Amino acid sequence: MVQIPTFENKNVSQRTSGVPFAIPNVSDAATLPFRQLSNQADKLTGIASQFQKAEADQEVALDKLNTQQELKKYQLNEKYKTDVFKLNEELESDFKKAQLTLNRKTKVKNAYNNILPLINEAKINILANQDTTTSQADWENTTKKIYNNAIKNMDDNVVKQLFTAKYNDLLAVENIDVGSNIRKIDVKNAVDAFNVEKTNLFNDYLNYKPGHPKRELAIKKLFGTDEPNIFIEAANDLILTELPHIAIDTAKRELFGLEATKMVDENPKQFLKLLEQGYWDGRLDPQTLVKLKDPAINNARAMDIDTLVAFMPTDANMTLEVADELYKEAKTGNFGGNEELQEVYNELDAQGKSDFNKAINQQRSHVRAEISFQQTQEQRLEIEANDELFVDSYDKTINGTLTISDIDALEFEGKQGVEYKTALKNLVAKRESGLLPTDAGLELYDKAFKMIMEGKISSVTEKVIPNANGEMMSILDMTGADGIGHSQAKELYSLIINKNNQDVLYQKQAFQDFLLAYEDQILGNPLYQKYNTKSESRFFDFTLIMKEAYDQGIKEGKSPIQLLNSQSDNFILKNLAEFIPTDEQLTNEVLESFGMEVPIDKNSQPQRKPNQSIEEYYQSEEYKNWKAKQ
Amino acid sequence: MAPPMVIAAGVSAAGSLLAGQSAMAAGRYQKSIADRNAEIYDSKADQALAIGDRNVKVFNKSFAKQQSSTLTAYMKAGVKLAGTPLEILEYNLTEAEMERQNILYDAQVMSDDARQQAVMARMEGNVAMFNARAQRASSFLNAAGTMVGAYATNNLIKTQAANAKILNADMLNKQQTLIDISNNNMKRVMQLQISNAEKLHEKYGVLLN
Repeated sequence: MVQIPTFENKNVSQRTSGVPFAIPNVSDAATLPFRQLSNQADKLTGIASQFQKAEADQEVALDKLNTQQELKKYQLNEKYKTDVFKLNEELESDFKKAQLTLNRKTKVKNAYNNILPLINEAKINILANQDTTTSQADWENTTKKIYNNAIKNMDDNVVKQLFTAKYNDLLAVENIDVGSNIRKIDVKNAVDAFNVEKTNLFNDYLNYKPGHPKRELAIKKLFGTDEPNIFIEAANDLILTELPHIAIDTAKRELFGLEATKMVDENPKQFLKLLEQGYWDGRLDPQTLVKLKDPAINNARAMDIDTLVAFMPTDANMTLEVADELYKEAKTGNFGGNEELQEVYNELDAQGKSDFNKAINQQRSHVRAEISFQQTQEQRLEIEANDELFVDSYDKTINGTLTISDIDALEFEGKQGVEYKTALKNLVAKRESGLLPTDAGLELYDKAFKMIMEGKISSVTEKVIPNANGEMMSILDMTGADGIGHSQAKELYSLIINKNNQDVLYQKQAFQDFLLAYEDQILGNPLYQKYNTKSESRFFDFTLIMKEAYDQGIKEGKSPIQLLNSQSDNFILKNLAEFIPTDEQLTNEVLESFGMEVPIDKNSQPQRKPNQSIEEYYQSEEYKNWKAKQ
Repeated sequence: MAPPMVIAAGVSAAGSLLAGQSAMAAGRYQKSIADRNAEIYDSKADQALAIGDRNVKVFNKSFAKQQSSTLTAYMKAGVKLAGTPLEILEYNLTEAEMERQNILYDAQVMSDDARQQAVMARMEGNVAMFNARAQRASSFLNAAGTMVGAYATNNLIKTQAANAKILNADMLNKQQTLIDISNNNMKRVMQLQISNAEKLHEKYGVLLN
């Protein structure tokens, strides 16, 4: 049989399509940025928190700080208040304590001060008592009484204790002092007695001649080797400060030294004679002898010279002629025939004669000075006695109210008075002859001023000023037409009267120097001087104005320096320019000097009227108008 | 000069940024691999369909040959092609169609699987890129956060320092004030002491000595 092939579907597919996907995990990735963001935000939140915390902390810290500050301030202020309170309390307490202490001290001090005079008095009494046997007991009793009296009324025990302590301190010191002084009195009494005895023995030896019992006893007591030698006794009494034999040797040197020195002073020739005889050998050491020998020679010579010089005594009432005669006699060695003096003179050695010459020359100077002083004193007394009368009479003479018979009737004293009368009569003659002073003798005035200041003129009548002809004239002689002026003479007189008053002399000298210093400026250009006869007159006017101002200033108590110093407010020449002449003024003066007419210049400085003070002149309308134009 | 902390924060931020860049590079790489895999899977899907078509054609040819054999056998057997022989032929045809459909189904399944694989590969690539972007974003945020944090921290430190300075200054000022007060008080107390001593001395002075 035929096999019919058939087809069978054998391949049945079991496959299924699609595989389930595993779900990818993207959530991590998806959330990563947000988580990151979140983390960062967390971080920032953390930082922000920290910010906030920091700010909060800061606030807290500041607040805490402020609170602490306030607290500390409060503490400090409270402490301060407490301190102040404490100090005030302490001060109050200190004041109270101090007051109490002071009161106590005052009481103690008062009590102490009260007893001091008593203690002192007791001490003085004890020390005044030369009998020292009861001194110590007296002292103790007295001080005890003083103490008991002092504490009797003391209620405050502290005061009592303080006072007692102070008193005991004082007493301890005073006890030592008193005890010491009592011992000193004892010793002093003994020493005084010893020294008195020694001095008496020295005097006995020196005053009595050798062989005299007192002198011999003195030698025994002073220099004997046993008692009653006073040095040995003093040594036994413990009042000698050295060994007896040394004290004896010292006393010997002292005594013979005194003897020799006394002899050198009182009788040097005897000393020299004993020296020659060897008396001093063994009594004085060679050095002392050498020292005494020359003084003895000199003293002997000086005594001789004194003897000789006494020939010409210093007697102020002696005349100069007698003095010169005595001097001549002494100088030649004649001594008016006195043989004794001649012998002394002849015995002088060369040195002695030389010394005598010097001495007699000196004596002559003394005698002359004494005589001169005596005469000057008399003259001064005369000047002073005649002063007021002369000044009054001088003014009356110048003013024409005094006649010669009036002058004769004036009661001037002494030789000076006679000279005044003569000089005043001459002035009357000059007045009657129309030769009254014109106040312009500048050169003569200067000369007289200098001579007075140098002591060469002691009176207005003394003729010591040479005039142009060589004749000697007094100040009053040269008061006249060609001499010095009336006011100048008065000024010179005032200078003489006050020559012993240094203040016045200084004032006048200073003013004179001031005038001389400005003289050239006031006189004006020296080219005109030769022909200008008006300049001196103008300068004289200037001196009068200055003098008035100066005297006024002195009267007001100002010093010359204040008045004459250009830097001073009181300088009297503040308006110097007004006194210095212009060339035009000088030319006019020269023209006037030649007798030529000078055209009137309305602009020239007005003249000061007679008797017009400088102040009045400055206040005058003429001066003010002229000044205004200037 | 910037403080060390800011420099360190800058370095850290720069590191984060670089890490983000690196993550992106890695993501791109992974996506390219995934894309290539997807292409391969796409190709496999196409190939599976082509293979099915070819397998259908091979089957058709094989089936046609078998049908011919069958028909020939019938003819040889002189079997009339009616009734059963025809049914058999029809049956064969049905079976063949079923076979054919199976082949196509398998091919389609394989192709679909491949397609699905491609989709998965692409999805993985996208996921990798997503991850990388997220990583980069995170890095950016990290860097920015680090900088902001550093800035904030720096400001915090500055603020703290400023606060500390203010506090110190205030403290110093207050201390000085206290010292001044203390000194003044002490001075006044001393002056008072001296004044008291003077008053005491003025009133009593050497009286007490």
